[in-house]
Amino acid sequence: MIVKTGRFGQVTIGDEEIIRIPQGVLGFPEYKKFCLVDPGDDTLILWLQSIENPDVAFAVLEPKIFKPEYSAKLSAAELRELKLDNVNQSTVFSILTIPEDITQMSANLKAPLVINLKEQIAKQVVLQENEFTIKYMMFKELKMHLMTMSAQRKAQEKAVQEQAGKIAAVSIKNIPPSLMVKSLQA
Amino acid sequence: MLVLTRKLGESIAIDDHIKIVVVQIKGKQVRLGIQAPKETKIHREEVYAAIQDQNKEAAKASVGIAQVSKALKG
Repeated sequence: MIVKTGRFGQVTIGDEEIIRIPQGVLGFPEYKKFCLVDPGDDTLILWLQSIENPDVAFAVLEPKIFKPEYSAKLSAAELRELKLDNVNQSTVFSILTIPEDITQMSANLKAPLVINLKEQIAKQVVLQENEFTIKYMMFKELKMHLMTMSAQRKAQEKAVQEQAGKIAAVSIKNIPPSLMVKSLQA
Repeated sequence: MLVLTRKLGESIAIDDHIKIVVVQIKGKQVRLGIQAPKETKIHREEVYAAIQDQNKEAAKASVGIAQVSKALKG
């Protein structure tokens, strides 16, 4: 199916790529079907795009990228709703707020979006932990992570070049997780 | 909505496992104690309102992806 989006123009997605959010994202209960779009800009930020409203899209990012110790504890009822046996079978995203001043971008750690990628269902879960803020500043951490990644990649490319003629093996670490992500460059 | 009147120290039982006690009444404020199974989620209503507002702000993002990318990688 072809999905119109305000940010990405027309995107073609398969039925198996539709992520259902039965209760909607908080504040947007009317939209229940989304897809994940990777703009292909190597920032690790993906966009949760509403299929029902072209103008509704949320920037999302895996919180472990900028806060490695972060973990989301789900209740038994929430796991049931997501058809999960445990939270490790899911992918956890923070919804980002990106203002005009991009350095002020923040992530919502209190209410992450938990996706069961196998079943393609998701829920915005409100965590009980009081120390999790809905506005966690993380621009610096993300930028640092991207710089480290880029440096590693360059070092690897150099190593590959030095091995000219040999078949280069790809490090398993560089293979992205099997996300159902729509790449615009595909 | 079910409306009940309770005095200080009295409580309300919800299902078999949830108990809400009026712990203190002070002017316009009521302090409640809540006993519930560990997996029951209990939040002040404002938490939901704040998350809804934050989501609305997040969905409003008008900056272009190219700008975000440039700021992060530049």
